[in-house]
Amino acid sequence: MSPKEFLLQECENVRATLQDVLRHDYAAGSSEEFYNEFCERLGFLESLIQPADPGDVSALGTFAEEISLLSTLVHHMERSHAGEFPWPFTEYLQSLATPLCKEHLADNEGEPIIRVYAEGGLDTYQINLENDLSVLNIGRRIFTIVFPRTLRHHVLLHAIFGHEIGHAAWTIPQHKSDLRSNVIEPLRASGPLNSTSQATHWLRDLTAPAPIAELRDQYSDEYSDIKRNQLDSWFQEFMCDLFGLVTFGGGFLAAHQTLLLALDPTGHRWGPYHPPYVCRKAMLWRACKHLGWPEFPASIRDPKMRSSIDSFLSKYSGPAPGSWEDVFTQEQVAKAVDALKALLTKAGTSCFPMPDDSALLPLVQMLNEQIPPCGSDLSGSPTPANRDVDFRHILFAGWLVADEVAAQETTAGKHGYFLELNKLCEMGLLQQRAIDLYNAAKAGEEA
Amino acid sequence: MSALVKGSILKAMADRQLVVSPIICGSQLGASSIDLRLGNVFLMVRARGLSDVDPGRFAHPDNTAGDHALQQARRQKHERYEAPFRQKFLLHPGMLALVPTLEWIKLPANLQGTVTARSSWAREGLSIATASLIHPGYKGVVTLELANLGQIPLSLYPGLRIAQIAFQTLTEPAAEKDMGSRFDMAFEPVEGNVAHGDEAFLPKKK
Repeated sequence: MSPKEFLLQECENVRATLQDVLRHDYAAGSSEEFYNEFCERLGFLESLIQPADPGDVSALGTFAEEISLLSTLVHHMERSHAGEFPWPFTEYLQSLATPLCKEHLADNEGEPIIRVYAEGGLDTYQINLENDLSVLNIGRRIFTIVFPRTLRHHVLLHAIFGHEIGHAAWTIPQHKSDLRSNVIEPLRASGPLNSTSQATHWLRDLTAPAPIAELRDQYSDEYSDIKRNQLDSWFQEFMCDLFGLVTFGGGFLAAHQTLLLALDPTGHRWGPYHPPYVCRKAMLWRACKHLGWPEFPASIRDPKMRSSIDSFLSKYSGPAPGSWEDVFTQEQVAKAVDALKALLTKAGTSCFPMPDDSALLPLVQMLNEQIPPCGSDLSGSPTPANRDVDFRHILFAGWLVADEVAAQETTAGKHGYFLELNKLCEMGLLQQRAIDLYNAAKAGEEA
Repeated sequence: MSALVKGSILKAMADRQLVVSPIICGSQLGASSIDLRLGNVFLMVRARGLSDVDPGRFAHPDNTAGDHALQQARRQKHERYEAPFRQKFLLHPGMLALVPTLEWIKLPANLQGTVTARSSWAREGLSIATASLIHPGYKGVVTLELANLGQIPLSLYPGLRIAQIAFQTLTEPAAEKDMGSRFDMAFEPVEGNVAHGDEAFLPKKK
């Protein structure tokens, strides 16, 4: 069988698989839009392969990549039916990410088709938006959200998606250009990561923390001799961390630290794509300072809550200014954060709103009483007045209580509380979503 | 023992003894009951290649990860389906599905709850089966055992009001040691243990 014949056969195989996938029930919305889009793409791809010269290896190679991509997406669709992800969180996440990812679409393009599924591995968190480089005449782009299968109920950790929104934005040419000039350039303007040679010098600095020196001995020069691509990837990670903080607030700080230290307990490892966690933490703390987080507890009237937030923030405070890990100045980070906020606001993606007592206290109280946190009116009024609650405040409240419980549970050595807290918050998100839908419908009727 | 009227229910809620959260709108409050809404998880009982209900498997469980047969039997009989709001779930005639309520319930030691179907849904053939008694001290979602006794499928959507809960005071508060069950702090339906307490009547594992 020639490569061309094989590709045509594979188009048939993908079509048969696409049809087979329809036997599943779909929790992730109707499969019709996905099915129709794929039928169109397959038909178009076949119309390109049919007349192709069997000797045109370049074109056939491109078509092979395209059919392979379609096959992967059909598999994702199949995985999606299993529904191993929290729906209410996913819907809130979509409301944050979609405006940013829609902005660049041409007027004649439909809304992206959203696919959600779960994969194995702690580092599988992803948000991907198809780019427009495909040879196929893409009608609607596929917007994919991937959760780690084992963390199905861990909504507190899902605040890490704030970082992933950054990666999705980076794939959009218009945003990429703005992000490069307004967010990354200020970070890159000076300091030890200003160039590959300075970065290599910084990594080999004898004053670097002991774990860095140990890792330097373990790693080959391939990792310690910083390359251009490596530095570019590192800056993308720094930028995405700022996305996380600006969109998810305190919940992001906690999820970021929990997941990254779980994957690298030393906090000092680096690689071709990721800078050491300690440097990311230092930058995030500078961003926190710019956003007013250190002063935030003073605005909280309830003393217990104030102390709880103080204690929470102390875990994320940065190293001494000018230390090895502190690779950016306050001015650099401030410029980057302001530019990012401006970009998000322009796109219609809401930044994390700083909560006050009235927003946070009831949520924390509900969690302490083992009640799912949401804007539910528990006063026993015959006409309940349920409040609007930003879903990110539910996550932040969850992390505050997780910290308090962890402090109490340390000696008992229990860890089950964290899953229970996550499930309470997951339930709270579901209930809040119901409140939101009802209130929106009511407001529509009144209008 | 007496049933609570609306005013007493609201007072118990105001005193934070009783929690039903959230009550989305005032019309959920009846003269002596509160309407409960459908949650978004459906545990459907499905006849599959390896699914059955055999109390013998549960009677003498070996709770190690290696107990493949028991774990498989537990998982095989149900299919879990999670739906967002406004997504339809069809309950076919003769089908049994376990679903949670949207509401989180907390009962004090001196109250018990009784869950029944809303009459408008019962008239369409929806039966909310057996485990209608909610014990004092319970906290969690309520699992509803839905069956369609009619002849045509019923379209159900998360958030719909399909059940109601009434409350009764007890002659005295339940003793601490008698409260609590394996279903406490339930976030979604789980299977029961049909062998619990009856192990003596079931064959021992070889």
